[in-house]
Amino acid sequence: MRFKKYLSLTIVLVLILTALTGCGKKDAVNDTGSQESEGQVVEKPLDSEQYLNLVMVAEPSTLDASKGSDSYSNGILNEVLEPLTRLEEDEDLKNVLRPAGASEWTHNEDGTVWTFKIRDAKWSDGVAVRAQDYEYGIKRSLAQDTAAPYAYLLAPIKNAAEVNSGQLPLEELGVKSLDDNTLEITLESPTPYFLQLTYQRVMMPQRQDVVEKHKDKYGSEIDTLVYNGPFTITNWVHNSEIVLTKNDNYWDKDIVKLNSVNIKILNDENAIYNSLSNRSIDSSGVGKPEWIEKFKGNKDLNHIEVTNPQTFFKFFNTKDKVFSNANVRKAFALAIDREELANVIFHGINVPAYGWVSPNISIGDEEFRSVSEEPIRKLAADNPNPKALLIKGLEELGMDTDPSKLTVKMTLGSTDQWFRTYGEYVQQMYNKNLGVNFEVEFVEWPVFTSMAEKGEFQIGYMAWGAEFNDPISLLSLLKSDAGSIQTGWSNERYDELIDLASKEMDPKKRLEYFAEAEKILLYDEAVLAPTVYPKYNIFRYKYVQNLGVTPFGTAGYKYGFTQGR
Amino acid sequence: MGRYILKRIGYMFLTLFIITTLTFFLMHSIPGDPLAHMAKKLPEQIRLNYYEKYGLDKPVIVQYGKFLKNVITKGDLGESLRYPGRSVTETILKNAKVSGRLGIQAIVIGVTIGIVLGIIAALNRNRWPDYLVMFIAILGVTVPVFIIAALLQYLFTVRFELLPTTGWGKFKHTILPTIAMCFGSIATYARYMRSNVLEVINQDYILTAQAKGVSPFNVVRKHVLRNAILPAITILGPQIAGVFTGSFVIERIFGIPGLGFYYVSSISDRDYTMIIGTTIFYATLFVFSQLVVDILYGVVDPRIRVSKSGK
Amino acid sequence: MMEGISKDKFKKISIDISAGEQIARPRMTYWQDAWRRLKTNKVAMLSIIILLTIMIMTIIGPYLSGFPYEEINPAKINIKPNSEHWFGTDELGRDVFSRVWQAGRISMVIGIVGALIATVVGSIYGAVAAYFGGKVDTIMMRIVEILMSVPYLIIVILISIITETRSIGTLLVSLTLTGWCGMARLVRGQMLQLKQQEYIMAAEALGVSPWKIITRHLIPNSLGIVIVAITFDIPGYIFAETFLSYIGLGVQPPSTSWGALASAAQQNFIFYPHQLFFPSLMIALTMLSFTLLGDGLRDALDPKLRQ
Repeated sequence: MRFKKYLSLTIVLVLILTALTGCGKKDAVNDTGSQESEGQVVEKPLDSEQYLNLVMVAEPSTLDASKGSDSYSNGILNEVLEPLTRLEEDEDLKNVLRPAGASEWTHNEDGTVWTFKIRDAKWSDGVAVRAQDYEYGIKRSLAQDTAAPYAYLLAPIKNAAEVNSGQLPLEELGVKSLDDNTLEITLESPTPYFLQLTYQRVMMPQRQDVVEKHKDKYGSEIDTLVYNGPFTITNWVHNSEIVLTKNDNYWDKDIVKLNSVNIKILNDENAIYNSLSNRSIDSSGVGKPEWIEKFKGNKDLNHIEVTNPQTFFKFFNTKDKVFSNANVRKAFALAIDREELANVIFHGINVPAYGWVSPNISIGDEEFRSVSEEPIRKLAADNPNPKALLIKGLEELGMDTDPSKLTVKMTLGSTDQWFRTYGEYVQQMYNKNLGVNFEVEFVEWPVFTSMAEKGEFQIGYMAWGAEFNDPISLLSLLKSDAGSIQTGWSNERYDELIDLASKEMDPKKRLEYFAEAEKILLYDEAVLAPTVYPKYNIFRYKYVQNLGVTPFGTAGYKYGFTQGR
Repeated sequence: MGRYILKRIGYMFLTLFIITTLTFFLMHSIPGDPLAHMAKKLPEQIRLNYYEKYGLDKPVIVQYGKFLKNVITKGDLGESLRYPGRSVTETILKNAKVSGRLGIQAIVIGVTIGIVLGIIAALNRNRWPDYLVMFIAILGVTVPVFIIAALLQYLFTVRFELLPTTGWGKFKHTILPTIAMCFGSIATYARYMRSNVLEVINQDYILTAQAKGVSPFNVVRKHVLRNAILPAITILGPQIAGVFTGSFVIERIFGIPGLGFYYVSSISDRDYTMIIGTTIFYATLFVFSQLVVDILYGVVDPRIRVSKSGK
Repeated sequence: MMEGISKDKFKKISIDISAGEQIARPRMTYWQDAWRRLKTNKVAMLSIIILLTIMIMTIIGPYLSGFPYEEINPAKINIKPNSEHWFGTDELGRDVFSRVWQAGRISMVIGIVGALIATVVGSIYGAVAAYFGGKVDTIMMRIVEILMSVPYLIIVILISIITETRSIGTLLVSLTLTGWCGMARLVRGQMLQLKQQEYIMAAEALGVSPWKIITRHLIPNSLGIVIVAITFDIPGYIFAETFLSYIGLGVQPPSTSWGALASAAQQNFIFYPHQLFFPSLMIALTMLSFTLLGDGLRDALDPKLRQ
């Protein structure tokens, strides 16, 4: 879920994926007036036939755990391979890291050497699961010739960067299996969030014999795959359907109740909603407000609201003459009426965003957003008149201070209908609030990325989601050497703070570092202008029970079942 | 005729070569790269590794040389960049089969209905059956297909739960998409047939036949139909090629795993190998269908001998 | 003997050559005759009236309701047609009435200009290829095949990048760049048939130049089928733009087209049918009128169908 495909898809379509990977926030479950909320039904027996029909909005790119990075394949891999750990949910729906492929783990005193005990288990073809399979998976993900897009997630592992760039041989990587059941991972330096990486696809086990047999084809069709997760894949018609079937060789198979899960691949929104209406599918995310209202009125459906760890934001090209000035950036960051935007454009579904780190991301045991104030709220309180800021900024730049003589262009990386509406709305808003000539340009996403790279834009628009449950996942994107968001901005103090936080084990200190970094980013420099945190709405027939709902959770369908279908 | 066909086949390869070359350089000249679909900018090292693995770090001309070599020596169109590990050739063939089945179903139904309607209209020119028939024939194409498809889906799968909403595999899955797709053929053929029948019907040989007492049915069957169907063949050619390439809109709305999806998505994903693959596939079908049409001209209309073209 | 006859017996009369041609009825040109016959076709006349009405409305329509087509009103989102907003409003509270006519401008221009360019270029190209035949024909038709096979979306994207806009002009260029090929093939097919006719042979024997044969004989005689194709092409271009709008490559906001309006509304047609209905109605009416007019024109223009 943390990874978006196209920005355009993110906003319109990925919403639906949440239903599949089971992201959600249980404490926000809006039960539509019925007592049968999830997990409370006791009187009904389990259905004799245990199956689910679900939907996915795009074809998984590949089920090779090393290659591909799309959320769709992430979701499937989660069901069919067993990572070292799973992020599950306790009764209060708090995320807890539970043993999965590894039955237990320890680390040395300074937290640089981790030892995982690999559980005795079998692959779907009967071969024993060994520590070497995990070792091979990690090494393959980092090998230069695999060209794994997600390899950078493994950066904390010793020599990861050198191995990935081919400067050091694979053997120098800090990963080795001491015996069939013991995996030892050595890190560059203590990493507070290291365990959050152990359930990522790039650390999943892979069988060397199978991979070498199928070479580049590995992961592209089901006959090239073996499984050690709760499910196996029994049918995969590209762009149409994936059928998961319970894996009888799974170590924890007694807990798995679903015999099959049929996932349809559909990317037309109306087709998805029609399917949910006539029960062709049992659960789906719903993005359109009209449909949300309609489904809310359906007594058979549970409504689950999910605030996802993502932020939609505008970003400024600080190398551009006008936007090199912090006051100008602040003016543009403040001239957005976020409440109105959330209401008009997002129909009250999304949450206005005044910070960079989105809700539902925790630091230590606390949610970051609940302990650190959103910087733009303060910026707005201190600067009630954005237009004055703009004029001040123009003065500092030595430009004509009449805003009506200033022409500014925003480039949107999508040609979707939704973006057209959005662009037209923003255009009117800036015309009104700042009195500038505001132009909007719509280009295809790949064209946008290439323009952003070359710095051929003034204001851009994107969405970004956290890859793992730590503020650093989002804050590190703005480090001057990250190059992820093409603002052209760099700040020594900011870089220093992020480096400190990435090695600090004390959550309190980390919180201080992060808070200061976010303040530099949004209050002092206004490099970005977050607009909303997306909120997704899942509708699920009430007979569907126990699918994971937390945003980062990776429990998936393992514990799911149906009751009273 | 044999020499003519041989020569045309020679031209066919030349044409295909030019199409491929042109497309190859055109697609590399639009901004963006295959990594763009991952939505975020990846660290530089990751990008370097990726470019190296797929040979994208080389100059376009070198990539082109390598591509040509693989196609000519191994008949290999390469691996999709968007869906790692999938062979472009296999993907195309597999999906073209699905599109083909649906498309042929739609064309057969559409052409049959269209031709019949066209003849009825022509024979009743400017009387009410003419107006009625043409109105019906045209009605289906006056609304964009994505609207028709969405309406059909809502009507028959949600309002009246008669058919499956989406999916592929059984006959019932093909009903709605076929209906949505055949409107185009009905209208096209009805109009062309009407127009051609009207022309033929005033020819002297029809009068002669009528004068000789040939029954109206036989006049239509033996004389009118054969002479009026020629222009229809011109449009059937490219349409057959289009059958296997599928319809992006229909496939998307009805969740059909056809080839239409790839024609649009490969371009927006910058999946270079897939763009070239689908282009070669379509071009081959199209160019080949042209050849067949030209040959058929001679068979259907003895007055035309393409082989003797020139004055 | 002759001298014996008096000259007085002879009377000189003037020779009026033009008078010899005088006929009781006024002379009718081909076009006048076609127009006379078209006028008797009620369906065709109705189509003309509808089309003229739509065209006039696209010119004045956007100013009639008093709401500029691009004006956003967050307070009046998605309202149904009423006395204030005759066609209702859209998701940003914009007046659908104004937008439909504004959109019609783009759609109509794309349809008519696109079809005209394609017809002119395509007919001449097809006629030349068919008339000369042989090598010329082969090469010319291979060029058409190449143009028709290169992925059209790449061309659309490329042109919009080169020109840095997605204006109506850019769209027209991308649509017609390959759009004339279909017409060229159609005309060629027709011509191949015509050129075997006796009157062409006669003209050739009389030494008429190829250009004259093409423009005087071949093109007029295939006019029937070309007219049908034009009236098909106009909605065809409107539809092509509609598809581009559906996948997001159509005209760029704030400009809009019927296709853009319809594809936007399609997503929500169950909830706001009016947003889909009006643009769809316009597309359907235009398409229907052009088609029926085309059929009427074909009947009227065809010299062989004179009754």
